[in-house]
Amino acid sequence: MIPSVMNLKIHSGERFNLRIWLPLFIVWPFALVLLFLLLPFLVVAEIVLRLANARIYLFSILGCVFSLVSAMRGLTVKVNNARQNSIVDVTIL
Amino acid sequence: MGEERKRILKMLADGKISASEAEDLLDALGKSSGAQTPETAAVQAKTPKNVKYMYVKVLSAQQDNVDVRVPLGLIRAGMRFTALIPPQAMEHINGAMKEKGMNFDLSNIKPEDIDELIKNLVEMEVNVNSKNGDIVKVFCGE
Repeated sequence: MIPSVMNLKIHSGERFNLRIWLPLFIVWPFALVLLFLLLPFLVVAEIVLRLANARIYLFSILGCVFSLVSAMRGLTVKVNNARQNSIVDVTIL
Repeated sequence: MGEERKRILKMLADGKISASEAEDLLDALGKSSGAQTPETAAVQAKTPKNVKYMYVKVLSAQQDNVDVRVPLGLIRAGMRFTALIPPQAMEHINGAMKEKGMNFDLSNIKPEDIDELIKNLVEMEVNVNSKNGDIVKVFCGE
């Protein structure tokens, strides 16, 4: 299942404080539309690459990128530097 | 409760067998019926199906902490990317790894190897305790 929300929290001392709640469920439909628009160009590029025997398969790469993005659900990274009072917190849900 | 278990308890209640004999009989019954001891239950509880994440925790003595939770599916998907590396680049990677003492061919990694790797990764646990109080833990869990 593709991730639906990304929370990003960056806090650095007293100076910098950033909190982003990124609704990925809004981004995906746009990405899908963009993919459909780019599809003819991708097909041409795939044919050219195959004719040139480049061994780079665009659609395989797209498939892998999709599986990678899908698998990101549940990823959390929390880094806390107590001396500089800085926190980086990334959560993908 | 099974019939055999009831019968053993009845024999104990009737005074036909002693408590230790009843215990031995119940143990034997448990083993024959494949009942789980706490140890086997704990091992079986951590099956690849239940385990979804790999955790990396770094706790430094200076209170600088890193806490990472990586879905195992992400590791699997990342490993599958190796199949897309062009052969020319693969040669460079293999050469660089050989220089560092890691003599294996990345192109030999097959999807079933990745599944086997993830399956075995579930049982892996790394605990590092340094002299200055830094702790590094890598383990898999739910």
